[in-house]
Amino acid sequence: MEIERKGKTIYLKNKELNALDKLVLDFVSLIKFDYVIISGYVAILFGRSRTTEDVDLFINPRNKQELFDFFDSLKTKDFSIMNAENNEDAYELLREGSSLRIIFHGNIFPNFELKFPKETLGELALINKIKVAFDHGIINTSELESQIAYKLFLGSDKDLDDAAHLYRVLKEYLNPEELKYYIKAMKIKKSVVRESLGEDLET
Amino acid sequence: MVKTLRPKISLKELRKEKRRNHRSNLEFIKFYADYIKKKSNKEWSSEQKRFVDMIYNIPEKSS
Repeated sequence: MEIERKGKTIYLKNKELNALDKLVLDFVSLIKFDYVIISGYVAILFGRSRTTEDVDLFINPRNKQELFDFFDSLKTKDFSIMNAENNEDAYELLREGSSLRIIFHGNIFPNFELKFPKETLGELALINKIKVAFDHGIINTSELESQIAYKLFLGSDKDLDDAAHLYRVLKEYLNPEELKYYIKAMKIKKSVVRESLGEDLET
Repeated sequence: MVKTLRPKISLKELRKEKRRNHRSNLEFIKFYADYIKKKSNKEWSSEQKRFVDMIYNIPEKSS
């Protein structure tokens, strides 16, 4: 895997885009405000060969109109909101902390799950976002260190597998102090860190 | 009526097996991560594309 990291951008050149990558790039091209993609798709982006039912995003539009403009633009690329009747309902769902599901071409899977950040980690995800640049586009994601730690925190087999993959593939490009900070802050057991990441990270 | 066997299930054994399965899966994930690290982006992503495209039947984009 050829990775280049310059500050807050990771370059993944010559990646042959799969159908999911293309769909994600197409979707994010409509977003004109701050967002980050988190969770399962990030592991796939960096080479895990697994499926996902949804692509998770935190979004942070500057105002309601900007969000509505985004909703209105969805149909131009055959996307539609699955769980709200209109823009106001969609906004209310997000405001109350629920997820908004957006589908492509009427197919339920894979769908895009959008949320407003409702806790510190979500807000930090947006503030400390990084970019992953391909030959044909850019995707925003959150700090990889916090994503790895959060997956260890979630603790399902799938999450632990993703953490193991991301750590193994990106180890040389991660900030170990940052990773240790999140692991400590999330009170992750040493045994979980050792088993998933393959080594002790003294925190 | 056919009688089915209802053996006593040991949860301890099941948990042990679950952990064993996950450990073995983790080992494969680490092996695979090391494998793709040695490959060029073109190589590993082509392999991944075959798998992902087979799973998702995403229609060509409309734009």
